[in-house]
Amino acid sequence: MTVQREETPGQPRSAWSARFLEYGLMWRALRRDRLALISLVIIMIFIAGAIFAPWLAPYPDQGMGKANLGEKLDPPSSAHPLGTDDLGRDLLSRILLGSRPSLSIGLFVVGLAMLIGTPLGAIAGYFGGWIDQAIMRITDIFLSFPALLLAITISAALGASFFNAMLSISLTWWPWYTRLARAQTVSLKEQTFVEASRALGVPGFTIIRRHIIPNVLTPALVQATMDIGSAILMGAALSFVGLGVQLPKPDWGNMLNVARLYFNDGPWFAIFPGLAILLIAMCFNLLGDGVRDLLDPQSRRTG
Amino acid sequence: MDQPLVEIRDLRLQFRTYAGIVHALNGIDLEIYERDMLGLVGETGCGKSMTGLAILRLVPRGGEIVSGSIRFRGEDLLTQPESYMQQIRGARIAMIFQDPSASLNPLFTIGQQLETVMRRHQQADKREMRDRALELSKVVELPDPARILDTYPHELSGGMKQRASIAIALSCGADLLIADEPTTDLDVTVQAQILDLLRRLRETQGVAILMITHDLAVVAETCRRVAVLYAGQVVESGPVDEVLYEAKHPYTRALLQASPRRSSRGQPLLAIPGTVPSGLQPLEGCSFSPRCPQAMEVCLQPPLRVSVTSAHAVYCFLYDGSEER
Amino acid sequence: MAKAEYVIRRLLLAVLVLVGVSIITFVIARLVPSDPVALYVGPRAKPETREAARIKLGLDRPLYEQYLRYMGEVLRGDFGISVRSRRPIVDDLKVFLPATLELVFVSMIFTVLIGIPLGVLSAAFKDGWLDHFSRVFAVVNVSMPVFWLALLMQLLFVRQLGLLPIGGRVSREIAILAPIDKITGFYLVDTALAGNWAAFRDVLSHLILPSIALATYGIGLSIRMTRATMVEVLQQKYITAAWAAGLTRRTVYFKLALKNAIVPTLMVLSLNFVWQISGAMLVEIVFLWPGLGTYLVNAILTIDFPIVVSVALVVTVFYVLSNLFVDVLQAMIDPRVILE
Repeated sequence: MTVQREETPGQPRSAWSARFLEYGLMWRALRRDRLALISLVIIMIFIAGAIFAPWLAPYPDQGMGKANLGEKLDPPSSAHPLGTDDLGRDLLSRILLGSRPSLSIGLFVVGLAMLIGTPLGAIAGYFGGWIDQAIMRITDIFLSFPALLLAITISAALGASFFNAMLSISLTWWPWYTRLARAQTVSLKEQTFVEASRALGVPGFTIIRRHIIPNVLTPALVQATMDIGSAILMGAALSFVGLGVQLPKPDWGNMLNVARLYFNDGPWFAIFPGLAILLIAMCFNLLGDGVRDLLDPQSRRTG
Repeated sequence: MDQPLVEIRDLRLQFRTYAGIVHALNGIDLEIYERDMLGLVGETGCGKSMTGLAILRLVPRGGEIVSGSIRFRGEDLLTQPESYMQQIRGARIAMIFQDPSASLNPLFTIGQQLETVMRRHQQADKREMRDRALELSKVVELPDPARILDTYPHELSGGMKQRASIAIALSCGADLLIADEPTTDLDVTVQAQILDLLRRLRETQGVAILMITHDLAVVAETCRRVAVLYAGQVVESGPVDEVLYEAKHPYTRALLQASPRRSSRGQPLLAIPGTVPSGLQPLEGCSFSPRCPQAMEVCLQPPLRVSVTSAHAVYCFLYDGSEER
Repeated sequence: MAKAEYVIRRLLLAVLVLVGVSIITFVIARLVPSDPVALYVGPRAKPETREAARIKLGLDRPLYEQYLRYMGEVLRGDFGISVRSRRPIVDDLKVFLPATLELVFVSMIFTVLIGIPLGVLSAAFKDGWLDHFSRVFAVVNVSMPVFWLALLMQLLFVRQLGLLPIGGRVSREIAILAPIDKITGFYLVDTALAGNWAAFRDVLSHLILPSIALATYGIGLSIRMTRATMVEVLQQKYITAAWAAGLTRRTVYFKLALKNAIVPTLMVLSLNFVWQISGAMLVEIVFLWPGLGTYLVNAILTIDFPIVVSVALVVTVFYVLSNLFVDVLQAMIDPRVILE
């Protein structure tokens, strides 16, 4: 027997639609935070740059790896606004095309971590008992490893590639979301509307899907926004060490790896890719700060 | 009467908020004498806590004292440098707060907190401070003082926490103790004990007490003098018996009628129509006039102080009094 | 005594976690697709040699036996042999671990000395110029790719200004003229103990750039964390009560409020300690620092898995220990924690 829910005009019908309404309001409030707004704009520019890179890059084939030995390590000029790298390739094109893996790894890692971690945490928090213990012990163990080290180890075990790098970083990231979701779920569980649902005989997973997840989504999203910057940094670190995107395909991290050897002769080669990483990481962090101040002023995590 | 310990004249306090300027205090006049027990009574938001904080110049951020004077033993505290105030606070004027769980630092033992204050204002060695701490604990009637000094606030009951706070406040021999709703958060029986304690401390320690409260019953029981506050203005002040039994100001009367008393059992409580002003509008004249059943046109002027008797004063145009000041 | 109980409970939990960690490390090591036997005996070995090698390496026994054997060896200090160099890994660790630890310790000193006071002052003078500066500074630090910063530092201080050495722990001149007696492996300590001040200065000059580079993330993190917690603490009634008692600014900010605010910062710092061990890897590469990071990265590139596993294990032990340390510290600072 399903209970007919009367639609009160103006009232959201479910926790999910309440969430969407809330985000609409938050979006309007976010517009007032200038720093966060500027960051968002810059991020959009970067993303657009990444998507349209093959068309925006002045030398797309050099960007993808074609060498241009005649112009090795040329300083910035009108032909090459950011100079050229050790094989004469236009640095601007390399950076533009390298933004694709560098940015996407951040987004994928955090997305994956949230996708795996949040439901796991909700399940652990809701059902409690041995399920909770089991999930949390595994989480604790994963959290016992320093993230970068674990990512490097797994990545090395799987073989160096972009996909493996993304997978291994995600594996180090999901525990945080599980912990977050579990804590939220445990406090939500005590609330009356959950008890009411249970009294009506609603099965556990449905409760989780309908009530718990939308409510733990907000802190998870706040965390995610703040995490993207760190994920990008970790992705860059992995490729710097040689475990991500392989040359000649461009990636900000692997470019710096090579640039290291040439910084005496071509400092621009070392400066610009790193500058790009710094800039995008800052923007995500500032955006994350803004989002956190807005949606979750209680939270103190600085990631 | 002799020179007052604290004399506040025309104190005005404003807050800058995102909604505009809030006028928290609109010309407060108060006197507190040595060994006095003055009750400062009014509804939530009338400015009584702010008055207490203003005396210590601890007004929260965004607040500014725009005019008036607060004289302590003749010296206007508002003109003194911060370093002077730091000497005064805790040593000459002390304060206790409404929720002792919140006003005691959870990470330090009672003894440590006592010691920190004593060390600040007095040169004393460990042994002397420990002795004084034990002595103070006995004065505030804490059971088993030696053990209590080594416990943390969360291990004590509400009443004991408040006693500890009083001990800390009086540790350096203050002349004035500002008590901001000290019993509001306590159980009724404990309330009576603490009020009793405060009354006795006034005599044994020679300290004056400014009792800030919203509860007329507390005032009636413990205070010698009372000042009634409404929307940042003193509307009536004087000896407790005179003010409570021969209330002159319409607000005081309404307040008394609205308080549940044994004699009014079975009768409906008379609420005061209207709401307390938010303070965002600058004041014109008497703050109570919008709600006053006896308001007149002249009430748009700031009311003058009228002496009903030598000690009892009221700020209301209903009275012109034989002695007008 | 409640506190002792708490510590013991935490200790046991830490041991459990370590066991779990060792299992996972071991499992990951065994998942490596490359063939350790082939690496051990070479590509042209005869089948008998290979079989002998298999037995010697213990690869013929069931997995759990291999694990137990491995753990037994580890606990006796035997981390196995490098597949490439055939040398015992523990010897390498004895050289490389102190190098990295020294770097991390100096870096942590910078983190604490710069990060926490800036965070406190930032909160105390909220919305002032120092606050704005600190917050910008913190964001930059937290977003900084540490290996890039290291490169920039080299560019500036080594190439342009010629002030500091490019890498390594000691310069060749000192190694010849005033060699260091390796007692602890911590060169600052060793040179100070021996009174070898020329070497001390040399070691210090080599330490400055890498440790500052390594410290940046931690500095940013601790500024943000300390500031946020302090701002909350300063709004508490017990701080108002402290002001009302006439306590000085220094007492209120640095003795009272800081104690209330320090716990989350300590947690963050402990996480940071281990991050710095793994972040040291990146810095070591750039500054040619002979530490765990360089050791590990080389091992990865040569698929020398026993090394990778050993380093991972060692670092994780540090992590667990530092978490334990923070838990205990928290219990000592905040007595309410024990009740939970």
